[in-house]
Amino acid sequence: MGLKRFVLRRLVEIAVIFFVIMTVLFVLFRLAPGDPVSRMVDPSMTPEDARLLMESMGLDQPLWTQYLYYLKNVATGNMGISFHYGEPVIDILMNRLPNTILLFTTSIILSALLGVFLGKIAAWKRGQRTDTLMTIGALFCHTLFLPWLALMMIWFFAYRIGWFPITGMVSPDVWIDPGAGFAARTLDVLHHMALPLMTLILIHFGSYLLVMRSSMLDTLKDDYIITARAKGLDEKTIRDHHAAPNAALPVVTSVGLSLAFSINGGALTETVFTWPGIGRELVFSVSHSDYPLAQAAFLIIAIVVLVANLVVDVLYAYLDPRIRY
Amino acid sequence: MTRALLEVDNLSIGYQTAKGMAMAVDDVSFRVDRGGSLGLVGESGCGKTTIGMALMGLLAPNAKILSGQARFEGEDLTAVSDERMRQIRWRRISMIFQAAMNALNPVHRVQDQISEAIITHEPDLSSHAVAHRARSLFDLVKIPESRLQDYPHQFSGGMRQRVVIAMALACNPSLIIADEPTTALDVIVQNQILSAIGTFQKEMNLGMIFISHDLAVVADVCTHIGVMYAGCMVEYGSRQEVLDCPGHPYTRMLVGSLLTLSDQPADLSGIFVTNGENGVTAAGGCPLNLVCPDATVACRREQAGWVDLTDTHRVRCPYAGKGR
Amino acid sequence: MSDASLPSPKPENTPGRTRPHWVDRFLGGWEVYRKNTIGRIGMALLVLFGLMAATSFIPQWVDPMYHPMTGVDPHISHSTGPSLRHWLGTDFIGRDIFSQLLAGARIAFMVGISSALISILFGTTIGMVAGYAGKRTDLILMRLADMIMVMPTLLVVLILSALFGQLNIWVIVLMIALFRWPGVARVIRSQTLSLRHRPFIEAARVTGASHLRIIFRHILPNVMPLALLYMTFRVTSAIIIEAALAFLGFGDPGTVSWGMMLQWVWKTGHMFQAPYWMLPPGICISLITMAFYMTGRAMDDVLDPRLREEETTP
Repeated sequence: MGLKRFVLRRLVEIAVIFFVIMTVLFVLFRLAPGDPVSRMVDPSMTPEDARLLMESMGLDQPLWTQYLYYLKNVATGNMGISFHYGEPVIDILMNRLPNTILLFTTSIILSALLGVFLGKIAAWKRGQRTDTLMTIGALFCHTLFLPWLALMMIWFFAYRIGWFPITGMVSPDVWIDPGAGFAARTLDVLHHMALPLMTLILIHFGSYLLVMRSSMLDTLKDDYIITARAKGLDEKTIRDHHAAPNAALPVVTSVGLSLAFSINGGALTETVFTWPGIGRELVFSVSHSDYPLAQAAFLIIAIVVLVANLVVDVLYAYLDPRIRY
Repeated sequence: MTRALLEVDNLSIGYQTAKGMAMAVDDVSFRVDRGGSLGLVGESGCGKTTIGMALMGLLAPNAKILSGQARFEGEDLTAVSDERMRQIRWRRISMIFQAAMNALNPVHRVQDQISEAIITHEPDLSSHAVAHRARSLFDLVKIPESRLQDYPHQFSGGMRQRVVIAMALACNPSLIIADEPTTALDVIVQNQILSAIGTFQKEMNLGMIFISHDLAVVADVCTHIGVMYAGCMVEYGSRQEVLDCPGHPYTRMLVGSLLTLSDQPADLSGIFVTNGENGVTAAGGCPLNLVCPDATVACRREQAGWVDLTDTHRVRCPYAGKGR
Repeated sequence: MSDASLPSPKPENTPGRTRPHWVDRFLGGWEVYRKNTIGRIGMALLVLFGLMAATSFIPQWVDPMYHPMTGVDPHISHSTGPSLRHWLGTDFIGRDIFSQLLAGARIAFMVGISSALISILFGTTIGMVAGYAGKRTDLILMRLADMIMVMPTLLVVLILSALFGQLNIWVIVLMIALFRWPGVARVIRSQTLSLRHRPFIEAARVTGASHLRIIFRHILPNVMPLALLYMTFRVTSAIIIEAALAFLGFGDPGTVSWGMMLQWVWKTGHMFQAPYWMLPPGICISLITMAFYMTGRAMDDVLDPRLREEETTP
């Protein structure tokens, strides 16, 4: 089927899944032990504000009506007021979302590229020392415990040799300074992003390398490789132009399959590096019982994961001409 | 006397396996002239594909050319450097693969794959000239130009085969090795492909080696026929000679089993069942000695030498010409 | 495939009785496994950790101050480095790090294996039912599996702990298992699908065996090796998720896990000064993950050709 229909169908699937998640969340939040109202409305609010909020969320209505209110609210973005920040939850999270997307997307793309590049070489030099080293290295990195690796990275790069800042995404002085241009600010962000990015890449590139390697080994058995050789092409061209593009397709699938794992890692990384993203906000809000924020953060993460899945699927369909045409 | 395009003398190829050296091709000799075509016929495992691969330098890493020469336009293909082999490939000798297989890369458009072959060997051509040649190649194999931008999976089996042929002709080679090009196609398409191949061969005065397990197909297109079994060539001669007076019992059986639409019943008297063994058996003697109805003690003991029935027709069997 | 040099474990010592078929297969598999280097290393590491877990009860017997949770050295009230009394040093309130490490091993095994077992039970059953029943049931179950697979387990458990308060270790185990079964289910389902049309299944159906009987008597023994293989991968993910949860502060405060230890290092700001405290738990988590992974890979090699064998005895 054409690409458009494919995307449309997946969008519908995503909507359905998101709907289910929303509903489950709704049920859980209402039915969990304790007073559900206290979860929506900050006990320390003034009674008038509390009343207004309760009305907008329909908390004085029967459960079914509450559900409808809930759907409406989520659709319009009204997800309550954060207990901790005292601001609308949606504003806080929309502020955090770009940061997460920046870190997350960059880390996945770079890990995948690195994994594909190294996996391609490892498969080409199968059985030799390069291959063994790479495979062991990939395995080793893959089994590292992410928070621990993060702590080690901070300890070494930030503390011991001071190359990178310890926490955060920005240095306040750079950003407050009105004279600082776009370049200076971008550089600052990149400077802060380096350590979390390196940590994420180290953890994730291993599995992509292994997938690419085994995929290459399979591809090299295909007949068009013989054709390529018969055409008199040199080895590098055969490897990079004929084998690798075919072998990379399963890697794309693998990225999609491990998205949940990647998001977990993203949240952990954000927390340890104090990167102001949604994952960190979720962890923070849960540990501070900021229910509105926690619920909304989870929903937004769910959307991010679902959209990421869609992007990966579309990318695969785009890259494989057998699907596109 | 025109120098032959390709002369293969006493070629032997073996595979290094865990259990020792397994012979795949045992002392095979033949020649191919410009404009001539040799059909290599035999069952699977008889070594015919191995010969094709060896000529292109595409043998598996554990295969070794043990002895013999393959002189192509003066150069010995068994002894050239890797770099020289790479230059010869496609430019002077190209291959037509079985396109039912994945002979074409699924993620590249066919025009790119054809252009790639041209650019590799003629890097000075302008992209315009390359595109022009791709178009004329498609004309040659009678595929609409609009299909140039398509991907391999969008073609039917027969058309894919024609694409493969077009690609093989891209650099104007002198010799084409066709390895089972029609095997997976239905009979009608098969005919089309065969006649196409025959036409190009004549028009471009190409030499051809046609590898097939089907004698009928080979009989259609080839000027010479070589019959192989278990790595050995058992009969070699011109098409007329081999088909009209097959000397070797195995050939006789093959010829006899050709079904013809004539009013004479097919001669099935010579049929015997081969044991389907791949590759040369370790024991000495004629490889057919276990199944040939005319086998004698001498056959079991040692491989027969060549018996020349005519100047151009030879058979590797002491009973050639005699018997039925 | 029996090896004459191995003693044969006869259920009772009756001369006429032979070994059950599965014992033969197991011993045969063991032979192959033994030769695999990766498997050997993995198994060696697992034995090491097993020893750690088993001996985790010992330090408290020696002296109550070695208790991982409550044992405090009366003479020490801050984090100290390795010494004779405390082989790996003490944490910020004077507890022995080494005994914490041992206790962590125990927790890791417990969490990993029980969570994996539940996952496998769930996943195998659902996979078999989906593969066997087909059509509607299959569709629904697989859609469910897809939805669960998409969800990041860690974050889901986080949200649940927000609602239900501090979680008990067994609840954590259960929740992890509930989110990890889809992977197993998918694999078991494809295996079941390929088995469904084999002659021996048809034969069983013809003789009137009920569906349940067919599933559990005929299909289960054949998918079991695959299920066990995937169990090793479930163990690693369970251990990691529990460790991550504990690290973030959502673990069971009554248990000492390696993740918990890392949380203490981090939260008390000892990250930079106490490498003897920070290094061991992290290394252990990585090593045990690697150990299970290696064991799984070696098992994979063993089981691969055997997956084709069919258990056809009734």
